[in-house]
Amino acid sequence: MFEVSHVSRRYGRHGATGTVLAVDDVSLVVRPGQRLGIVGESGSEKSTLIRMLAALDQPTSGEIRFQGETVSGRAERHLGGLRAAVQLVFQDPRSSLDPRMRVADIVTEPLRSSLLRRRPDVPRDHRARLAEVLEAVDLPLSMASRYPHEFSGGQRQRIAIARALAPKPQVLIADEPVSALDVSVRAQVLNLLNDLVATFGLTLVMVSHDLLVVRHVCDHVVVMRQGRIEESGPTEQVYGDPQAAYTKELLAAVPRLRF
Amino acid sequence: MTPSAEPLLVVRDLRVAFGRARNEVLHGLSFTVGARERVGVIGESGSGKSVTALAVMGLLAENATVAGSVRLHGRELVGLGDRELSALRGDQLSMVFQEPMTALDPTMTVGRQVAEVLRLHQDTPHGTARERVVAMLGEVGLADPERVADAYPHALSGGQRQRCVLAMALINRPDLVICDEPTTALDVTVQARVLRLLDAELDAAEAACLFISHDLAVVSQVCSRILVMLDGEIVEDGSVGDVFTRPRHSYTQGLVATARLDQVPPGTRLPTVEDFYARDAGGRRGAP
Repeated sequence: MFEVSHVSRRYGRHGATGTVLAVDDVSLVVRPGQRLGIVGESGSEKSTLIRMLAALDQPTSGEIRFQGETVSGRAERHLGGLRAAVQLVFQDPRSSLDPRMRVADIVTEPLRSSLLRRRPDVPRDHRARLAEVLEAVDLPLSMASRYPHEFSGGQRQRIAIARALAPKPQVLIADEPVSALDVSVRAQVLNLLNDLVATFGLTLVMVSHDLLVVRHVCDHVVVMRQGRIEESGPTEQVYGDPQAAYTKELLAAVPRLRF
Repeated sequence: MTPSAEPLLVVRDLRVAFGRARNEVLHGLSFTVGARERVGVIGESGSGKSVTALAVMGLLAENATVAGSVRLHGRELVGLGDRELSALRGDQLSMVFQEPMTALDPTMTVGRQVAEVLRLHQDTPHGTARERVVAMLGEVGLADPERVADAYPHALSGGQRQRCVLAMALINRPDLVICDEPTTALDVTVQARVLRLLDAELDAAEAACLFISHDLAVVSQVCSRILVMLDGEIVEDGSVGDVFTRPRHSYTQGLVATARLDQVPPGTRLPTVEDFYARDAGGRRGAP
């Protein structure tokens, strides 16, 4: 699905001194149907990496290919295919949902985008699609005329997921999708994500600082630290037999019930 | 100091309501914290955990109406004026907040902020305050306390800032430290280090602790007793072992089940609170 080869991202003016190398020579492959987890602490640049996957940011060097086509360095008008096929869910639904828009408009907004609306795979019947995706995330259609502030955190994250599903994407990129939620709501949203990925055959890329969440949802994992990949592989293998010292440190730091 | 055998902190029928409409958010809480005891408060957002902490500290907003009783060392705190409360806060009672960047003053060096807490409550001979501040910053595990004392908060990392807040909370050797989600804003490896530090420092200061968190695993690292809050009430009060292995209230059973992410085979359905505890239509309590 994605091929990332030797991607680096440097911040600061080109050639000037004092630039910061944020992402440093990262290569990885995301296969169709894979559930890839990216774990790391703040400053690991895991969010910068997925912003580049979603073509919201451009690498300074290296190449990103999506379904065989180079997307890094391409102009926005050539990115229609990626924009339709790749959707994002962010950490805090309070800031990712426009407070002045009704749920119905929030969810169908991607369908009205000029890049997406003429694509054959993007649904045309907005009302029908709204009903479908709200049902998929377990929200009653009657709530579509309400505003985001009328919902709880968990419900808002469901709205964000419904919006992401609206254009029938193939890839869902989720950046800390349950970190802003209560433990009790976290389980519901994780169950929902698992169900949706299975039902719609989605490829999932999930960023999280929570190793237990990644273990539960993802079959592959990439451990990042300060812009580099420390370790990657099947989740079971990395968690069961970590090779990098940093992975071991991360696993040891996971708080466990002690009694 | 203690006039009787009464526990360090005794809260009886604590009720808090906000605004003119007097919307009650705490519905008569009663609990105690003994000297050196560490009590965790768990529950989801909106359950009243933070309001409880602020009510004990006397830090609620002016539109709050507080009824009931909060006694520290047998002395009633409800109804005390700001002057008297200020004399207690930072001395006998102190607090660690979730976000150290907002708890610290961005325009003052960390050293001056810690020294201020010291000077407000103790007669510190001129020139010795800095010594004690630097010693305290070293005690909370900051590698270069001299340099940190002269640094402004923005120049420090999240973990370093939270250590500074901890130094402020502990420098006067309080009897009770209230921690409201003290590690929620920190990375996992930093969280693990700060929790170990808190554990050691509470021991060293012989302080009791009221530890608020939504994360059961984190609470279990520090506390021996747990209060479970739901919709402004305490629905369970017991030892960490009892609450986690034999939860009585169905809501607690749900919370414990959802927290044990590592016990569920990957990819399978996670238990949710609703599997155990049904909320009624109004979002308020169901049958226990």
